[in-house]
Amino acid sequence: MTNNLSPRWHLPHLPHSLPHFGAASRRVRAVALLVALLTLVIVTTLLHTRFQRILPGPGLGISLPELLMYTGYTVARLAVAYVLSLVIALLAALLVTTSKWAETWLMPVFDILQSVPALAFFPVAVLAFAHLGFVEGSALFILLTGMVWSLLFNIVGAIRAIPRDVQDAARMFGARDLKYVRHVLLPAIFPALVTGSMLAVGAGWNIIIVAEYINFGAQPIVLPGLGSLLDRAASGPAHNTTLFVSALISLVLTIILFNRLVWHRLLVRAERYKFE
Amino acid sequence: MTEPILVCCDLIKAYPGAAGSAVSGVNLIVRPGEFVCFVGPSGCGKSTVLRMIGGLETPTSGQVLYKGQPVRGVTPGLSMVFQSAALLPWLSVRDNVAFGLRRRGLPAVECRARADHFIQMVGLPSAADRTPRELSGGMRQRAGIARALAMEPEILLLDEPFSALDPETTHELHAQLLRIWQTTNTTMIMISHLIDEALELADRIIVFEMGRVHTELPVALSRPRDVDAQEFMTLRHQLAGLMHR
Repeated sequence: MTNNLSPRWHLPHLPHSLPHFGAASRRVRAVALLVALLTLVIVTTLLHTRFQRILPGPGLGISLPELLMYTGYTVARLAVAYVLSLVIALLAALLVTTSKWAETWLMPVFDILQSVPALAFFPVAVLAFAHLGFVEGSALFILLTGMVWSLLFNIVGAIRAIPRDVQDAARMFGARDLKYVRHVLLPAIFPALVTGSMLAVGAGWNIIIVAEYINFGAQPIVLPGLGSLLDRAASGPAHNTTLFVSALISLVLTIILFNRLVWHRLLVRAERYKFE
Repeated sequence: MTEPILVCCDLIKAYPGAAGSAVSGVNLIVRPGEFVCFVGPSGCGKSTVLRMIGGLETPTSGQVLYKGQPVRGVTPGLSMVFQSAALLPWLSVRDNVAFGLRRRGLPAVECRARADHFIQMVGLPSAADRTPRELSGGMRQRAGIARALAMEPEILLLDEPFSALDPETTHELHAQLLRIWQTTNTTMIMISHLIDEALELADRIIVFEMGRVHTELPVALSRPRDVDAQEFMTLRHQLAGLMHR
């Protein structure tokens, strides 16, 4: 494209016109993403083949429908844990921002608890839930402890960031208590909910990989899903590189898809809700 | 003399932990249809008094009487315009203006119709569907005024509504506000930190200092007021003297 601004700026004739803002970076980002993906797959496969123990074992073939099913189980676990975390985080945030007592006594507790890695609760949780015969519960509990904090602190931050004028105006025009929560508070925290959810779900992915395959006593507790699949494929008697790589690709693709279809859209929508 | 529409009796507001009171004994009256300006240096308590009148703060002692009844919290008949407009960013201008009406339970269609009427009154008909982000400061404040007026108040409280705007926009909005005042006969109580603004708009200026009413200055000039007229300059001089001691 020729440079058609040259008359005003007196630029010599040049092959390109000034690219618009963001054009180059979009291409760069796409390439970077591709490179990152390939690197991830190559590196993990290499590491895996290099360091795997040479053990006899039957190869574990897996079909695409089976892979999708396992992915589905994992996503379902994450979804349930997320919804529970969201409800708990919202209630806790409302409590802490409305009651002075709760703010003084509970916030420091939350501060400390959030620094404890979710997996530290692992043994206790597993014991408790195995006892109750509700094994899925252990995974849910651990996911909750990992996910609830990013939601809680983001929500509390956003509630505190609502401008004083807006709070006053809301009261002035009849939005108190529940009406305030519904018509002012919840919309106002929407951007924070999105970012908090992204962090929470990200943490969730980390945790679930480990939470699905639990070495408890003689018999390992295996919850069907992507995490246990990865675990089994990476080590143990049925280890299998193909399986591992397929499971990994499935994981990465799921995350990317979720990112594009859900998070990206929500982030765009959330712009409208931001106070300047 | 007409019965005052608002009376402040010995208003005191002390904040726990703070030295001294923000408001230490304010007595004033406002008559129906009056345009009153509160002026004074920052920290003199004028904002706190306005908030107590509006029901946003409760006095430590003393009371605010609106039409003879003590004000306890937000009261119908008293509406407020905020310094920053304080609109909700996710709602259109129309929905923002209709906010108070919707919370009262009026059906959506009627709320929209009423909102449109007041949007017209403040001169914003073209922007009814836009969000605050797409508006200039002056337009946002017009929307804020429309929202307050939509409640059909008898007293409109304005907390330095134009201090964040440029002089041209402020001048336009002064004229608009005076027009609204003259057509609707709403009592206006406005806080200003600008001497000229108070002199251009008010029937009576109440000068605050250190949590109390220091002086009251009646302004008996006919509107529109000429900034260059002798009487105006005399009053400006007088007011400046009262405020900067």
